[in-house]
Amino acid sequence: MPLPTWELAAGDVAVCTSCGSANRVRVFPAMLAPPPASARAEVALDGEAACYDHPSKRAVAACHQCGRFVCQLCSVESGSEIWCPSCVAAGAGRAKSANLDTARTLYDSTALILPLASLLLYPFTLIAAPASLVLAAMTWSRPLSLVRRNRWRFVAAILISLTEICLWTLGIVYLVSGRFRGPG
Amino acid sequence: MNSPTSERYRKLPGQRRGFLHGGSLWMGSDHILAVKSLRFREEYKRFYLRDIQSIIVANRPRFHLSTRACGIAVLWLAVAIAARNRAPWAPAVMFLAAAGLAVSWLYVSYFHSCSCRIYTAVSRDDLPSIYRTWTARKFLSEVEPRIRQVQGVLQGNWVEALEERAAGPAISPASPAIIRPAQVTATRSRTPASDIFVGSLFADAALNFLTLHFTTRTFEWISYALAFVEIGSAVVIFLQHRRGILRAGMQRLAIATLILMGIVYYIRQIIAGVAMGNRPVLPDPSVLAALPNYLVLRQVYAGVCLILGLVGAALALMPESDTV
Repeated sequence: MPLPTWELAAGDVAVCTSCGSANRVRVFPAMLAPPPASARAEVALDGEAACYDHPSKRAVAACHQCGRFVCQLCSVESGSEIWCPSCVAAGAGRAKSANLDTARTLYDSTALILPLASLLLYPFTLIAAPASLVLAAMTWSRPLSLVRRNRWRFVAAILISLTEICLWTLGIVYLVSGRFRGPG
Repeated sequence: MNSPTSERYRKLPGQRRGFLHGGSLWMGSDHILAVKSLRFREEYKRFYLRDIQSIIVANRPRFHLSTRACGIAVLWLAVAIAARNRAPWAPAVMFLAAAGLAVSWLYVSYFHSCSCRIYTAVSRDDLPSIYRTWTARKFLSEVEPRIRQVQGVLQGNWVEALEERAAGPAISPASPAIIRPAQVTATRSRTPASDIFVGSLFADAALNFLTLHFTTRTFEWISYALAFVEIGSAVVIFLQHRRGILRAGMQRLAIATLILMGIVYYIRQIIAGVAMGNRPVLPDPSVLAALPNYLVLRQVYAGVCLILGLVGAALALMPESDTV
């Protein structure tokens, strides 16, 4: 999508010539960099090392994890290392790196929401509180958010769930003991 | 392209706090991490500093109701209730405060809002967490030096050079043809579960209107059965939306209905508790029916159910679309 023809040279604010809105545009040298060369793999000549997955293509590197030869098309760059697609897909070695994560499930948030949301219809806390405790225990050591590093949500979920379970226990004990004691 | 496994991120200015969706930006060692929060899940996208071609902040109205704004509204409500009978001038002050807050929100939303977009050679993405102009300024002031540190500065007559270049991925006429079938998801406006849900809303409204003055235990049980149908179909709606079958509108309607049911349930228990001296789980319907407060509550509930049902019907009748 091309940039609209704004008055880029006008300074900090560029006014859109179409709608007149004020815009701040920051352009960086990557904009003027030549387009990247196409990742087309070259054909392997006789005697040349060939790609493991594409035997007709010339190998350009070896996978840092498994050592397989990879062509230009198959090479996956990660910092100073090159991986083959299989290792990336299998999550081998440094491919497990958190840097490749594109999504994470937030078990701590789920564990916290369960006992809190069930308060809207409090009889559901009878199920939600133990469920939250089990979830917190089972997923305590799972990776959290990439950007949040503490487990306070788990701790809060456990405390709230325990409180709800205690209240239920007290209520049941009170009702049962009252029934056995009788009206007199 | 990568950094160590224990990448430490620093929070960048701007955060979008919604009830279901949120967004934030974080600075890594060599990239900006855009985090899209979906309440129980986070999705990440990385923009490497060396790849960023441009950042554009466009001024435009953004009427976003954040959880913080809703928190302020709840606080106002609490203060208004607490101050109701304390002083004769309290209602006027609270009204002025509410008007002031509303006008401030409208002013900021209209005149000091923006959208921010980031371009690389292969992508162009909105940054939803940057939606106020002052946040955009702070964001640029933090990010710009880091990008310049990596890429250097533009030299020469770059404005002229830009005339021949375009930011972001090139749009090719052949692009639609290469979309894989798996990427195309039919987003339906109705399913059997949503139909049952909307139907139960109308039934609930009708039941409450018709039995306003002669509530019996049988009607109470029918009402409970309807509530279970609504909750069950709402859960199915959540799952269907999660799987990309159903549109978001129906899910929002289900959430609104569940919240309404929870609120009405508690108010009903309070009314029954006040009338009967305790808080029974199943209060006597004949006693409840005689209470004026309970009558008003049921009228309001039936009215809101009817409105939600109409909204649901409108959502179900909207034309279906294909989204990529």
